[in-house]
Amino acid sequence: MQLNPFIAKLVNPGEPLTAQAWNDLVNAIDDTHKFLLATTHTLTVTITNTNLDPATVRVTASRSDAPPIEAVRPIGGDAVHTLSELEVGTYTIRASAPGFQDKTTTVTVGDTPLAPLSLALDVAQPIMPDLFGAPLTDALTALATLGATVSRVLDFSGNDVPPASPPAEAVQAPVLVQHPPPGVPITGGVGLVVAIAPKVESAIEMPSLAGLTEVEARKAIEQAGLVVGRVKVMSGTEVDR
Amino acid sequence: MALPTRLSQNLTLEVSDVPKVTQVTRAGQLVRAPNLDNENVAGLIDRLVPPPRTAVPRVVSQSVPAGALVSRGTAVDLVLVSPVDVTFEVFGKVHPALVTKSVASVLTAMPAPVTAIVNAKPDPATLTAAERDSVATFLNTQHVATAGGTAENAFESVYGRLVDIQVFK
Repeated sequence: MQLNPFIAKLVNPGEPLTAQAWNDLVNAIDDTHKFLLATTHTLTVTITNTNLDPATVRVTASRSDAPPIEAVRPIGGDAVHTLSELEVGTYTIRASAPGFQDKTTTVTVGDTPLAPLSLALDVAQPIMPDLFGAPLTDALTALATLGATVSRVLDFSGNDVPPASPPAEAVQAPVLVQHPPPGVPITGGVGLVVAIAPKVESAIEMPSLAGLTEVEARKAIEQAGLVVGRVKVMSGTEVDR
Repeated sequence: MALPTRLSQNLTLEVSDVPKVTQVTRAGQLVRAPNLDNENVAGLIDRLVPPPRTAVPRVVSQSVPAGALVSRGTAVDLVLVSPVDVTFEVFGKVHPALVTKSVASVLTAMPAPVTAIVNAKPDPATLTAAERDSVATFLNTQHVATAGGTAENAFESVYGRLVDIQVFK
């Protein structure tokens, strides 16, 4: 849209303001309003990835003869980024997110309203899944499927658990902590902390041995999982065995 | 029937020219084997009888009290005393006539019918009148009167001690 030439004509006090002059003024304001509407456009960009938090995506519009514009990130849970105040021209729309390849497309801003744009970003690095509560074996399988390397696994006490061959008690232990957190690209080794219940030996209730012979007492002690210590036979003389 | 084929193996066994002799030490001193006359030993054995069970030492003390919770592998020290030397005082408050008696003496004197009653009915409340009389008669032979008085003099208390000493039988 082109602005019509505007002749600025001033009047002095006491001079009459004609209808023509007034109409020229109104028309000029109207043209200006229409011009502004026609030259500042809004473009909505929807990120269609389901494996990506849209709020982590950066959407920009850039052209060679003007500074770039960054879109307002999604508000209210949708995946729509909003580029506003786009003037007439050709823009490169770029969507970028950590762990994903940048996606670019060209949009020409003209006099007509812009159609909404949808973009899907391609994965550049595996994204850390949410492994909280998953059995260690399932977590290791999921990470191996993604091609991620598990560099370290710790138990709840800080003891190392070999990721390649976790012991039996760790196989079904749930993952409590993961690094990196869910949704973050895996750029290095993955660390996991799993909950392995500390080994607690079952307590043994000491049986009463009163009145038993030594043979009977030894048998009772051994059956209880205990060990016979020193045995003294008292009858005026003491015998150590 | 054909035997399975086995691979031959060369085994080398080294045998000392001197037999290994087990040496026993006691209190740091080497215990030397005595020269026994086997015939006389056999004669001695023939004249003897196995000791009565009431002479076999029994546990009266254990380093870990009964009921205590311990971990597996805990060592338990024991002290054993012959029932001949175990008096009724080990049971705490008992009938005065029993305090100095050994459990072995009472067990030995206890008639079989009374022993059967005590073993079959640990609760004195379940005794029949005849059974109660039998027990009381035995207690009289031991000069244990259960006419009443203090709690430990009551028949039920004394009967409980008779039940207790059965483990030393």
